[in-house]
Amino acid sequence: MLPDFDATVRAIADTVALREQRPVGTAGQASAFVLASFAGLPGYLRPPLRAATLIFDAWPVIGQRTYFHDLPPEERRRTVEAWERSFLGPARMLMTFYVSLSLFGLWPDDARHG
Amino acid sequence: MSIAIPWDSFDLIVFDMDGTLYDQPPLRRRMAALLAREAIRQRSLSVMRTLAAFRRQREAMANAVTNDFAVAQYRLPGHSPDAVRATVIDWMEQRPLAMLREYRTPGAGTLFTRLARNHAIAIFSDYAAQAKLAALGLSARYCVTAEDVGRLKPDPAGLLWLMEQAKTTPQRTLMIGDRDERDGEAARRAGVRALIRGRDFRHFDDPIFRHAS
Repeated sequence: MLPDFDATVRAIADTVALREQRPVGTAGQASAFVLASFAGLPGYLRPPLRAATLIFDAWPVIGQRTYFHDLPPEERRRTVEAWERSFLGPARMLMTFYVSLSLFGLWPDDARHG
Repeated sequence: MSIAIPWDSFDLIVFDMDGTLYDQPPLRRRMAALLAREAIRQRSLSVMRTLAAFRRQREAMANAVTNDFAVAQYRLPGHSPDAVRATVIDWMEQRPLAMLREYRTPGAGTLFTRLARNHAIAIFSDYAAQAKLAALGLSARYCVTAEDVGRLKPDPAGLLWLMEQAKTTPQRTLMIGDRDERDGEAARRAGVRALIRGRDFRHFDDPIFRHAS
């Protein structure tokens, strides 16, 4: 098994949807929105973001011997929140980017339009 | 299968704005990227969370009647209504304007020009629409929003107001929108025929609009 970009994005969107108190859209709609938004980013931004996402996915292998996207929901949430509070700017920025897009994907109209 | 529309039998053609006169998904993706950049810059998701709460509030208000709609829509727990209003105007009304023209629905300009010869064109929108209409390079004789009538779609108040202004009847009015549960339902409640984007047509170059003049 290797780090998996799409599975990681889906797992982050799932985590954000579970954490939100009143999501209107579903996690599936949010992850579809995040993946579509990622595809629409300028070409120069996608490779570094993809690489950072794969590093994020592989990070739990050090302590838990499994990828982020294979973690149970509670562990995923702990990992996301640890990265949101990280002292490393790029780690915080990566999580803010994904959480922000996931939240947008959970908005009423966006849930419908994808 | 194409629907035959008897264009000559209508006086008033009412358009919804968001999702009907421009393509929403690509614009939303660009706005989401801008919001993500703002969140990273500010190290805070507060703008995103405020807008998300406002959208949920508006969706909930669509199913309820509120007497002070214009104020109540900005009343969110833990937020100053003025601050919510400023954030909404900035991110949902002003910033998208510069990008709107790029996403105008194909055929909209030609259709508006043709329809304006023999029909009154109106906009019926849940959100502010005048500036968006100008940004799209379109013009309409009448424009009504949820704030003007204090009701969100599918309440037909805006549609009824437009028919009164145009001195016409439901039989001589056509509503064109993109959400059957909002635009279509408002039209049904007002006794007006509706065309729904995505169900009845994809864009304004479709054959259904060929004889509109």
